[in-house]
Amino acid sequence: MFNEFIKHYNTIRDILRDCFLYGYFSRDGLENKRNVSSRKVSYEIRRIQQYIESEYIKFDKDGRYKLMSLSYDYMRHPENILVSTYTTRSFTRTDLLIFYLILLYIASENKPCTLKCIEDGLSSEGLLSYDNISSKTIQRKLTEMSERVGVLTYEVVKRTKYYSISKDILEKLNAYELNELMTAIGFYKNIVFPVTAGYFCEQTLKDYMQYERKIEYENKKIFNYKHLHFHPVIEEQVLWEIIKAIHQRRQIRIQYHSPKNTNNRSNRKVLNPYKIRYDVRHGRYYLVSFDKRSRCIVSRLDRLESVELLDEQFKREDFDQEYRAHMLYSWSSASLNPTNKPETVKLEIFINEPEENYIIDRIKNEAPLGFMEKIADGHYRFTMQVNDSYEIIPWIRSYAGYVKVLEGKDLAEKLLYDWKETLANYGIV
Amino acid sequence: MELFDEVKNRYFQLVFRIINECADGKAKADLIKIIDNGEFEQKLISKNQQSFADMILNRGKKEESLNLLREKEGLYYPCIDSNGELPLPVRFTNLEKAWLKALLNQSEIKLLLSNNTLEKLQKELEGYDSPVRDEYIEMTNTIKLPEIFDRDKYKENFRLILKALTMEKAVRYSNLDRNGNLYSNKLALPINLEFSMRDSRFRVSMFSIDEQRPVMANIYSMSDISIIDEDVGIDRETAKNMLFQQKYSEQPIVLEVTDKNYAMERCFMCFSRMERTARELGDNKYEIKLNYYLFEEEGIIRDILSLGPYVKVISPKRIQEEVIKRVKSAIAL
Repeated sequence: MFNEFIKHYNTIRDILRDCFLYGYFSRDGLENKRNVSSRKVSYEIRRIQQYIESEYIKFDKDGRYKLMSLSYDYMRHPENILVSTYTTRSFTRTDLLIFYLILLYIASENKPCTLKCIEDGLSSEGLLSYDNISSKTIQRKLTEMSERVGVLTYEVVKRTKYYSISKDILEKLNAYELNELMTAIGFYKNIVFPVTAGYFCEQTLKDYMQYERKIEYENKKIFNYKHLHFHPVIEEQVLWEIIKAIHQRRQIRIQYHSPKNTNNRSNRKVLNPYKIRYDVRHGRYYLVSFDKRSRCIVSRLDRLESVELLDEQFKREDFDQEYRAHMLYSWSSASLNPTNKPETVKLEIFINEPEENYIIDRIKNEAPLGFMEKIADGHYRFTMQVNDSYEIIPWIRSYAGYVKVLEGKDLAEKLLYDWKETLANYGIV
Repeated sequence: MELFDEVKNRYFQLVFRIINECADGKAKADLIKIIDNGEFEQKLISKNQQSFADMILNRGKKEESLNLLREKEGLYYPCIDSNGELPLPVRFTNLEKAWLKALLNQSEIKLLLSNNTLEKLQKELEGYDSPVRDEYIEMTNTIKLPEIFDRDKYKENFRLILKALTMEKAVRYSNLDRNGNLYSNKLALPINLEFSMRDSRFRVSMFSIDEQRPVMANIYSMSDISIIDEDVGIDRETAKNMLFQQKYSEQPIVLEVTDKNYAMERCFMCFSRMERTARELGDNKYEIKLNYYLFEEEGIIRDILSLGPYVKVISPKRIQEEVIKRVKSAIAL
């Protein structure tokens, strides 16, 4: 109906990431990075400006360049500003009309209706013209509304489908209980993935309370979140496809977009999707899957161009042990090659006791599979196993001044080199 | 159902609300207001140069208008008479039901839903096969805190704080800090319930009436909580704004990032929650300015250190010196 809407979410995925995460690109910069025309970049920027409220869009000047970025302060804005980008899928006038005419008609009849009954009813009211809308189109929409969307249900009597409005699952809840549910959804909408579905759920419940029950609801914005990232929402379309595939035990074909590898064939893989891993600290999704030779493949979701669900199925339990063997000692995404053993890392920790005891607790809590022993007052030793010690380097670095590496493949040398480099950056040699 | 679906298009949903608003007839001016509130800030225009309002109010040719409303004596009604019932019933979609079922299985759901509500919803969704399951998603880089010893007490505390927040009332409470010090009979106005995604713990952010400053407490370490039904001289909104203003840094942290080993990407991901600006400096270097809350400073310093030699603090001097001090200590160990 309007050109501003899009058919595929992928159309805006990359630019959203570039603007939201990085935010330092000028139009020229975006053209160069993505190797697309200036017209396409202009269209995409205009779309984002439409989809996201202007208070979150910032323009900065860098010389002659104008830099667009999306920014929010998590304390003031616990509502994910990127969810609105999922309310932009294109539709035709016919899609919209038939959807609402069907719903209006079935609701007004207040009894199950057949396709013929709906067609005749709409036609007699002058709302349907067979010149524009065929019987098949209405049938297709009925199937979509009952099977895909779920707002209708049907019963088959003598090979004829009788459609009615889906059951009201909130019917037995009183006003107090509906308010409780609203609070619960309001909290979990940022936590249970895909969060977009949580936001949709919240809006539907608001509509339900307002229109079906005439209950006033005031959002008191009670909850705030720490370590909540908004940008993973950009990958939720891909995430949803993978979750469905895992649930239905269906193989997938992924197209992996790697900046280093432009070979199309090597980027298309058929996999058995096993689990999603979400790195809470960085807000990054990984798919852990197994290929036909049971090799463990870990893929970042932000690098997946597309996911196609195949008809071929797999047994998820076949990979339970494999997953455990590959990922038990993974810090985030590094898998263990079955021919290797996990690495042992030993750290020495020096603190001022008792005022810095919290550091010992924090290390134990952040690496719960490790073992802490007290050597002397203010002196501890921590032993842990990891798939790949390089994966924990950022974590060890964050304890600079407290932690010394005793054992770990080249870890001490690597860290020392990093620290010297860091000081050199500040002109300290 | 797809996650990216036309049924959830903002305008598709707006039509739904407009039709229901018109159940008892709506004047044009009222409808224009609803449309203005529901549309994108920048209004959309169709290929035929018609606005959404033109289409819904049937202001163009018949084949271009939606004709879902009918005008009668200056009021708009749904095109099909709903016989006094709601024209469009509100129902959850399959996607929403899938998510809702997952919600009911969350470990802390009983903090928010009473047994009655939970049981009723569980019964309704009993046969529904939801693909949203915890077993398919594993959280990593989390913090595993010790189990809460007295779950009943924790639940009771949580509910009291939630109630106080909903009623916007102050609370009297006692609290045991991590060093074992007991603070008794304190008076504070709860501002927010804060949930940490990394350690899955709730903390309550409050404005201390005794000390006239924002404070934070762990819900499990609080005791003797009671809701106070009296004016404490400050409302929640004012307290919230004071928290934002008093704790927001006047000067941003300015970082210079060298984009090696995806450092820039990791840096942006680490700080994505914060208000920030960035620009390219050339030679594979970028400048990022981070606005932050003062109580986050220690965490930010740790994040900067975790990014290694690819991130340099330009200002403020105080944070730069702290980073250098810790790096020197690391070398000296």
